[in-house]
Amino acid sequence: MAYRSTILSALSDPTRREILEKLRAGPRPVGEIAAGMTISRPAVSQHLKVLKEAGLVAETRQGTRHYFAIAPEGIGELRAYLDELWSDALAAFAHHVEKERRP
Amino acid sequence: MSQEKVASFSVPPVDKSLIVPCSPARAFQAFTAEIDQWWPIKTHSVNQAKARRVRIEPAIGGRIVETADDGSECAWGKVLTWSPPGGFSVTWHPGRPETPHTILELSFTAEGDATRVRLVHRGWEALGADAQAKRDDYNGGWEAVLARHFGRYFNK
Repeated sequence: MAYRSTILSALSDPTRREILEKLRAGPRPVGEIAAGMTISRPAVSQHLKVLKEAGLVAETRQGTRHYFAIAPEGIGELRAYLDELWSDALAAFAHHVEKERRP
Repeated sequence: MSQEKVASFSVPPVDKSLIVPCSPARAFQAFTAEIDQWWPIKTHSVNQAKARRVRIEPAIGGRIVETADDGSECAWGKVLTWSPPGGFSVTWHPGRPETPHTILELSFTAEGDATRVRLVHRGWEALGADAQAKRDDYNGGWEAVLARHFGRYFNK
């Protein structure tokens, strides 16, 4: 898999966060997302592609129009991943503290 | 997803706590001065198998530093507050430039004869706030390393 498609790197770009901000109100076609932004529509499409690959945005089709929407499960996965990272580390820490109590 | 559904992309802090059977002072010392003795460095590090040590420089402005087999150093973050035995906080950016970073807070509170250790990892908003953040800086970073190990969370 492409590393840059991971959730954190997808979130690291301010333009992509701006796009996500616009999607908070609901699904939008790419033209509406691009409106008012300083970058070109193809550039917006490119960012949407990255967000899709990271699982943060989902694309749906209604007739001939493509709509993009936030995929909340992507955020859930990021949290689950962080949760596991710190669970591992804290478990190792607890083991370190507890083993000195054993004879 | 329905058209009307409003979803927030903000990431709530990770907030974890556990009880360890020792005093807060001992827990603080074990967590910081002895971090190299327990941190799972072969999996939770930038250099992974080639990572050798991790240490925390115990003062405000000090670094959390990983040392690799070849002696090279890589900072994971910088100490923001340092108040033993109550707690400390650091910036957190393993494998990446100093900004943007998230914040990691540790606190150690007595509960009877034991200590509650609380870890809060917050500040994900900052990851998008810095226009200087270049996507390529993230290539090969810790997210990538962890993505390999926790691939099921990333590969949908």
